[in-house]
Amino acid sequence: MSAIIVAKDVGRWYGEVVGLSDLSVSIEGGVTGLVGPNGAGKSTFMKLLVGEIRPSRGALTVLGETPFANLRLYRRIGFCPQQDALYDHMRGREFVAALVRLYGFSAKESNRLAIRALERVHLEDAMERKVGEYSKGMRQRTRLAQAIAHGPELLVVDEPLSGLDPVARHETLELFKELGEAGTHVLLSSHVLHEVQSLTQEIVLIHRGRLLAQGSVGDVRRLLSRHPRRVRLTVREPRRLAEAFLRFDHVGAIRFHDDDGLDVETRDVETFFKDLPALATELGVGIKSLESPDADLEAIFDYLVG
Amino acid sequence: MTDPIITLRGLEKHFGDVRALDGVTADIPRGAVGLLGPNGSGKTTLIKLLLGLLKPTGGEALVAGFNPRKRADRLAVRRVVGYMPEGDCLMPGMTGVDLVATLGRITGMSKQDAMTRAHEALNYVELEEARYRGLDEYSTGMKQRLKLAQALVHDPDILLLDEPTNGLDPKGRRHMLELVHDLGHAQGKNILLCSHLLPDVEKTCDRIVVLNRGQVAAEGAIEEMTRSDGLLLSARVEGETERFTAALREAGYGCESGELGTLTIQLDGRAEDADPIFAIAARVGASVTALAPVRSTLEQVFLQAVNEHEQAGKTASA
Amino acid sequence: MKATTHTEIYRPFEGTLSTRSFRFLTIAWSGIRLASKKKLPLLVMLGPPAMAAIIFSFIVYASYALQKGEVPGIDAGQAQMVLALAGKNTEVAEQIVSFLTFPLVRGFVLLTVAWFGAGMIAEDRRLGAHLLYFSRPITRLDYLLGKFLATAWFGCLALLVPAIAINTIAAFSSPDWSYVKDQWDVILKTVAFSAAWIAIITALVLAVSSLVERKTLALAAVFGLVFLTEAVSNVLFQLTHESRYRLLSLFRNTDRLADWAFARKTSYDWAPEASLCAVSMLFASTLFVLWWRLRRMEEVA
Repeated sequence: MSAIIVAKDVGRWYGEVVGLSDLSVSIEGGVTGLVGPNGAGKSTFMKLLVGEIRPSRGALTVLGETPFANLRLYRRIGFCPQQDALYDHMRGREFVAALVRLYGFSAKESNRLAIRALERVHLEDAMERKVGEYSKGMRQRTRLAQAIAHGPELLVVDEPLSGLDPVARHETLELFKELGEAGTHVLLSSHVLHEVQSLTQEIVLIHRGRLLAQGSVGDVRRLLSRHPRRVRLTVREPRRLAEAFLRFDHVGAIRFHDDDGLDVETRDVETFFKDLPALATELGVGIKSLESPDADLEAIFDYLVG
Repeated sequence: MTDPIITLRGLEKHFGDVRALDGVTADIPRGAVGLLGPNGSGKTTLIKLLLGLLKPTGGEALVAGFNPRKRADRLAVRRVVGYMPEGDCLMPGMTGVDLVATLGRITGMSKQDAMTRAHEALNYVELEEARYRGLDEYSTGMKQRLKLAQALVHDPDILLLDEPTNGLDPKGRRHMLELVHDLGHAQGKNILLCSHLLPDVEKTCDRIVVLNRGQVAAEGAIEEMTRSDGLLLSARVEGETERFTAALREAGYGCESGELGTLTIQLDGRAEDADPIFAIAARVGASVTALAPVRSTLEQVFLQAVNEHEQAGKTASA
Repeated sequence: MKATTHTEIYRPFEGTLSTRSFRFLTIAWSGIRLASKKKLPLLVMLGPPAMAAIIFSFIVYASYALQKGEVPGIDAGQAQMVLALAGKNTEVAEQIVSFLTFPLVRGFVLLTVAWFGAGMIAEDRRLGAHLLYFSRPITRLDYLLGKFLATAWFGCLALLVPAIAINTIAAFSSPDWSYVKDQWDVILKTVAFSAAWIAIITALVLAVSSLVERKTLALAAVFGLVFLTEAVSNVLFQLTHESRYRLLSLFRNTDRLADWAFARKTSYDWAPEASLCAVSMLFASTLFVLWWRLRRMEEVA
């Protein structure tokens, strides 16, 4: 798959304040999670992508075009910003329709698209009410509706889940999944890492305005060879299993916890997993569960950002 | 289980036609409890009633034995409760220490006690040199921790925490969760935590109360509500996946592939542990990278409780 | 020595929480400290009343000195000049009334109270800081008193303190403490009048502050309100020459009350009771607004 977003040495300053310092990244299609601590430059990067601001340095192409002030490209992108800026005096439907009209659709068509988008975010019952009366979660979903209404090829969403209740979070994540499966490229930023990971394995991690890691969660974890992998087992006879692990020269540490818990640190997790079934069968120690607590996005973030 | 710390008996609060709370009856035990519910389910109203900021339309609430409806008890309730509000509620210009100490004094501490406690609370939430800075210079994470410190200043028995991880980045969130967990488990505080992030609740609380449309939709211990029935195993396998699946089926285990490459295996109580599964993996040469009894996530429990409550409501009204 | 470790991170509070209800003093003190952080506005706003007070004090001092026939520091000619500037009446009471109703002083007192009081409730509401107060063992009255005292404090700095200073000068420079002995009622009236005037504008400013969510808006609204009533009262009076329209003006009413309280010859043709009634109505309605808004704030908290 070819890259839909290519940034080369992209930086953006607001006076002396750095929004994004020097980012080079190439993002392929599909659903991608953009993560990083506060102030890493996620929002700035997103604003650059949708052409809201111009980079102070470097070159940026989105869907093969330069985004800044590029009207043709605007129609192909949907953007859901983090800021809660809506016109409170308008009805939900009017608001979304008015924004869709800016893309050049007829009034009738805009209205139709607005209604469809509001239905997708489950606001059909509230779309004739004034935006000013909406709750925080409803406002968030209105912003999302205006981003998807015109059927963009690329959807850029900045913290779309903040302020949503668990039901709405679940529905919104499902919506992104559907959009992704239907072929829309989605770039989503979020602080809630497990939600990002439930949506996609492809992540871009930025920190201090630079790229820190990109790729699938599993691949990135493999690159972090400095941190031996932890494997956590619950076993009926943990001490007998531990004895056997001692013979593996890639095992660096073994720790017991509770009555049946066993934590193993290994420098070669592939071999470990490959050898484990045979060992378990041979010993018959009764393994009940097996997990890798430091292989998820949370752990990667922790190791890389600290 | 000891006496509940908060008792709710048919608690009702109506705003005009809106029934924000519609007969909530629950015993909230000591320890860390998550208060969950969709927006508009009455969580905020409940907290206000507990603090005596609102008068209930009907029913009764008892907080540590005090009834916030009574004038004399209302102030007593606020002495045993520490409240961390959701929004950004800090006055700029004040320093962190000043804010916490002032609020301590308002709660009834002497000047010396308030100062000492302010510093201790700030130490606890790890706001070191920032305590002398103006609040306008605080980051989101620091503000949240300061809000926690002010709730702790008078060492209350009960902590009402409203979305403490709101707006925090992963690192800030982890820190906040560690503090909340420590308070609920090592420091013996009784916590009522409102959060939309169910994993946060799972990490810090032992029990949950789910509200929906002003009523209790579910309550119980998280451990029990998400308990596995031991019938299903979820596994991740690398290399020789197809041969592994085929071999499992051959051995008579039902098996389905789910999301993100997981494999759900029907164990159906045929084995105490997963050794037979490992044996099959060993035979076909597959690597097992994850394996655990399938248990419901808190999200599933929550969504199901809300759904069932909605359905029950519809049936009742029809 | 017995070895112990004290590694606990969280230490329980061993002391007791007092149930005395003087919490409003803490709230007031915190408000005063917070507002006094910026020194420049304080200087700018308190400067003019302070200077006016110095001038009036000097007039009082000079008139007593002339009576005694000794004027240390300045010669008699200069003192005569100052007294000529002050008008014919060199009575201390007259000077104090002039100070209290001096337009510049009055304007700056209003400005000071409005400047420091406008944000007191409005900013709390905007940021949601009242949540932090109302979740603690205080009542609405504690909160209101706290905010009231903090705001009134700045009014006192601008008006009461200078007025007392003039009285003090008069007391010290009068021959044989005659001012304190013979005119002690003027001292009491000064304090009472200043306090009442400060209380009224403090209540007005806080009421406006509780209605809006921004300090600047509250500030604009206070001045808008004062100038609007002033203008309407003036225009109606000019058109109809009916003095009852002048009762709309806060300043006319207080002038009238000052003339009455200090038994001064008045240039207004209505009874002091009418003004008293008008001012009381204003005060009562501001208190009503405050109470109603605070009730809402506590609930919405």
